[in-house]
Amino acid sequence: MFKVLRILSLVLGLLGQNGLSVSRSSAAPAQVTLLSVDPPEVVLTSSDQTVQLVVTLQMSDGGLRDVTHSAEYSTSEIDPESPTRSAIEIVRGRVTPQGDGEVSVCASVFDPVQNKKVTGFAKVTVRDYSQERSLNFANDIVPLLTKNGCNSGGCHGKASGQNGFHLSLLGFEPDFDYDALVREGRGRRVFPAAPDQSLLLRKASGQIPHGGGQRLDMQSDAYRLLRRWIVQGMPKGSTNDPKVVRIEVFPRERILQGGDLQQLRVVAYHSDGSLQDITRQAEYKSQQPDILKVDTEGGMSSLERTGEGAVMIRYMGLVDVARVTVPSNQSLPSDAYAHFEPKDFIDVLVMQKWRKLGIAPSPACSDEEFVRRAFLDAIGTLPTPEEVRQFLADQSPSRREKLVDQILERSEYASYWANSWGDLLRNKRRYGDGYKRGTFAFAAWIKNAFAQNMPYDQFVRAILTAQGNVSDNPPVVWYREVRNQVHQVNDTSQLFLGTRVACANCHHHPYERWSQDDYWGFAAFYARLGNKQGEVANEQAIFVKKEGETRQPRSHKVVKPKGLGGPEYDYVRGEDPRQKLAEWMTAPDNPYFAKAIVNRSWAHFMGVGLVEAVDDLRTTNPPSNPQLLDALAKDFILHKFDLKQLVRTIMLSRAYALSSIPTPYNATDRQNYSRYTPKRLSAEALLDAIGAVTGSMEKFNGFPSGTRALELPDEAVNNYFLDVFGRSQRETPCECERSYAPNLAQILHLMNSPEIQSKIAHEKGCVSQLLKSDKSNNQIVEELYLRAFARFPRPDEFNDAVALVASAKDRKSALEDFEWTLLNAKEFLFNH
Amino acid sequence: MLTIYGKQARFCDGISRRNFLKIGGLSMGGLALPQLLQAEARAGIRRSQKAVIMIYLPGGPPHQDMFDLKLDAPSEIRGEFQPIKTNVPSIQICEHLPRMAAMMDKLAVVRSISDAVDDHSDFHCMTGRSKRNQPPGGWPTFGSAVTRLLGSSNQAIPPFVGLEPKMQHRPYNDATPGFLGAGYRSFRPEGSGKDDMVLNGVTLDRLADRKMLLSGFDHFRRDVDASGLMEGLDRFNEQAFGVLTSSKLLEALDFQREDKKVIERYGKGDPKPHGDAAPMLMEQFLVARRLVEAGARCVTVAFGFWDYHGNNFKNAKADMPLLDQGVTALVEDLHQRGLDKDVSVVVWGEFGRTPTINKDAGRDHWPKASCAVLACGGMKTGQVIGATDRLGAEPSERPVRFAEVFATLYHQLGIDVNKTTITDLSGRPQYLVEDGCQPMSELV
Repeated sequence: MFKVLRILSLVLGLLGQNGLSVSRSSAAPAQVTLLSVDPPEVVLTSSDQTVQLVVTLQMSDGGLRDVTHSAEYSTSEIDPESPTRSAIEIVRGRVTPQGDGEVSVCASVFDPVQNKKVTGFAKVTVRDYSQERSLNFANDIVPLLTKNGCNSGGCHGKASGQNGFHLSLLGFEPDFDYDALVREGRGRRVFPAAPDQSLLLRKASGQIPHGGGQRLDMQSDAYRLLRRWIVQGMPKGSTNDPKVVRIEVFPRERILQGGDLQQLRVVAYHSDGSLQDITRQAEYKSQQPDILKVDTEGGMSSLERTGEGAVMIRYMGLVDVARVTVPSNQSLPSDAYAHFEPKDFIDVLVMQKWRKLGIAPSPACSDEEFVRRAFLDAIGTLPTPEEVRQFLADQSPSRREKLVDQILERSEYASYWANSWGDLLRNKRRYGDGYKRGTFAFAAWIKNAFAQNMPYDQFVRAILTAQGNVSDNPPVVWYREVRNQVHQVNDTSQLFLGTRVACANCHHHPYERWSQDDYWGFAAFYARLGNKQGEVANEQAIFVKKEGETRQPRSHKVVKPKGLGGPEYDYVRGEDPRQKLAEWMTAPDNPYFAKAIVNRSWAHFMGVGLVEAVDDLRTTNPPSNPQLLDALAKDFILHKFDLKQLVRTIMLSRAYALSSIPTPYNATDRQNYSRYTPKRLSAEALLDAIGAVTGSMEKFNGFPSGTRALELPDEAVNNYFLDVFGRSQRETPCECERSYAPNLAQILHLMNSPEIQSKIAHEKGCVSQLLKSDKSNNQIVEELYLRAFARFPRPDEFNDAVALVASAKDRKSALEDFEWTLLNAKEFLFNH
Repeated sequence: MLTIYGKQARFCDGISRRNFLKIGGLSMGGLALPQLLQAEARAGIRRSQKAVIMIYLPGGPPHQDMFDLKLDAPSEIRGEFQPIKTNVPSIQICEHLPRMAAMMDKLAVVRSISDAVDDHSDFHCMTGRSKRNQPPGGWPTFGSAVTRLLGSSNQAIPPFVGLEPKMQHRPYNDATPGFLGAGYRSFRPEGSGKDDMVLNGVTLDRLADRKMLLSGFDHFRRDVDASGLMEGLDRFNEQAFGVLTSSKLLEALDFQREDKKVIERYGKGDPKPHGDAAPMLMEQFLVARRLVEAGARCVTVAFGFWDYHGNNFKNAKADMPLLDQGVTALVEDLHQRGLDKDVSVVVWGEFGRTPTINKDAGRDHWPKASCAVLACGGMKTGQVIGATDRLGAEPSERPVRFAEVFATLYHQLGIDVNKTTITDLSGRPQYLVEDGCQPMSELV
């Protein structure tokens, strides 16, 4: 009951904010019900300011359509006494002041359905047009350098500058840039006495050779503004001048049909409460260039592909994002969702999204597909023929629940997840066998944590706050690779908070709000960490110093420990600041912690993260389904960080149990879970699977026979197969380190290596056993299919395969060839 | 049985170049078609034949006994070799490199490599980077980066082939795909996968049977996978069958197919590993040429062992003629085949050697100055770049960094080092060469 209510409340909550969805079923063409102009009223207080109007049609079907570029604009002075010349000029919705005055702007479009003109109005006031404003370097000039690419990482923004001229990366250090322009270069860069002779202007406008080519047209506003700043004597501006505290884009969310255009408008809010339209000054970047494109002036348009996209807007270290949905333009049959009956909140929320996009799910997968998929996804292990048969024989409605529960109780569950977390926690024997004891102990600890289903918050806390010796507290091994504050910040944030802050080590993060102060504030949690020779040979012991503070390397000021966007803590003598970090991170209201892990798990099972990459949560990289991410996180916290429960919830959703075969109604979808996303098996899982099918498990030097690849404690166990199939070298906390890209060496190895061939032909292997048994050809073929594909052969496959075995002169080699074929088939190599 | 064979048509998907690019792009870690085309457009190439052959001299060759002889130095430094005139009047090199001397107009010598480190490793020569402060996952080797940026130019040939063996001193094989991952590893016909290239206990007929079986039974739908991985696997399947049944790749690797005279021109080397490093296989110069001709974009070779702590002169006298013959044969060959504008060649080691000759008539490690030879690729040759002081101890003119040579090689492939980045595992866009290094104006 509780669950039903929860689903219901989620659904109701969503309907409220879903006013934008377009109904595609109505036959009558939509007509315009309202034309609105944003902003309805605006005041311009200098000749530099411009305003981008956004003109939107509200349609009778509930849709919104942007007509900013196509509307007709007319103006009329509100004060009849004003001069005949209009105070403003409007081009494609952009208002440029021409003199003081109050103007009424009328925007109109012709609606062919109603056969009439539709109009809307805005009021624009221009004041102090002729009063010259003193410019502020940081507010007026730096954004211009950024927008024109002068301070980008490829040009003057790189650490060594370019041809002797060095600016701070993306203008994050205006003081430094001011000196570079005004004081360095023997004053030739700017020349107030003859501003047009300034090197800055002559180079940028291409009048004299410039490595970066022509960046500014001499007729452009940017050129004129730069020139005026030089004429004014390069004012730096007062420290009391208002600063930009926030930027905001309008509209934040829209639905665009293929090829539609949407003009954005961006406003900066200043510390004194004033606003400024910065549509022209801001930078734009499409986060999904296959779905969405955007021009330098904030005009964005959808492309062919159905899906969701976002445009990142960046201005002076601040960011915002505009989200776009591009629904499919084909109409769905009326029963498109009939086979998909939502079972839990996941299903409700993914379906919500499909409806919004006009796509429909693939059919549900079969039990055969489910059993293989569930085994491989949850425990990295193929089901045995017996396990498949058992499951298929179970006709009870709760058979999948039972199966998932059984799988999660198996010992392979712990091995599989310990292997994957060993990668992320970088349990690495880098320095040779002397360090084996540590990596083995840590591997065992991780495995035990998964076997006990240790709540995730406790798991992370144990690692973050580890101290002492390896023998008593194996998680201290984490600090062996994650050995200094920079690694500690980068790994902690990327792994446990799903947020990459490494950029902010040296400069303001280019796509996020994190500054160097934020970075080093985070580093301060580790200020008191010390290491010394431990009791175990070669192993360090971790201890906490009584005192210790962290300084920000640029400002050299002491920074207090502070989580990302979290509260600031005081240094207290004798206290380990890491405890505060763990508290902040694992608190239920932490904005990242639960989301990061549910996104990671979701991506593991569903093939694509709600946020991609899974450890790159940020404002400018929004989740494809924010409601689902929130709901998963909430559910996870509600269940006290129970990882198995999370896995169970995902695996038992109907969304997880869809076929991977696309339909015409979801063929282009890649991010909305309208079908199961096939994945390659990991190197370890594949090697184990080959062992299971051939009946000849891989032997690893120094480990008892029967040890599976998934059970290897660290990366240093020699094995060509694992290397060539891209196992993680545990150099980074990123899942992306594991490589799934195919290459020739892998395929040659699968097809033709002595190792695989000897497994197939092994005297105690599967083929030999089958030959020795009294099984009929039919049974043998069935057995091989069940082993490799976890399903019975289809009639055509069955007939072909039986004919092949029956007609063979040499039965052994025929069976070997057949097993080889199954091992090299895509159906085997993928989880699907 | 017949029905099985009848299904073979499913496999014949007649991949066009455009499709291939798409597949290649997607399988190469998600570089989508438009990006790949942009990469090619930026590179100014459509039908690209551009390539780089990198010849690594493990151990660090004695710069002052090869290309930078110091006749004015005191006897404990000077060495016993004499300089000879080259076909470029102002340039002299060692008497034991007569063939290079005769084609000096086709070579460019850098005498002032300035930022080597005292580390027996191919890392610097293959990545152009320092081992310190690497991004997570490590710097990728040049060929891996090129593969990432340009993909393969011919689907039958891996874009990046490493001919070097696994050497006894492990760090001579330090360079890896780094943060790009195993998919961008060089294809190593001499490496661990060597056994996989020849049939193992399976006859050619049986392999043909298996191939037919695979096309008969592997009918899993490719369209379930939007990521391109399955198509990529199919492509490599075809390639692998090709390798095993005599293919373009095998042909390229089989230097015996070459005209006898050409093989003779490259000469006969020594297949035994020298020291703890590489053999001196002359045919690898030839194979490298055959591979780039067939479509490889980067081929690496490790040649000999140059760590002459003892008997510097005796060793050098034995090794230099082989290098002389191999490099000149390759350069001449590239010219004769009209590949000289497209295929750049670089020859160098990890550092130079001490000016002072030690008690064992050897020279020790000397990272402060070393040499490189560059050829072809449309570079300006017939010149010496930079100089060292009177003792050959330190660059005195135009110090050159490793990364400047890499910037030049990228430039010759049509890749703009000022604009092109590759995203590392932490999501940071990384430029291809160290900050501040540009293509060398002397060469491009």
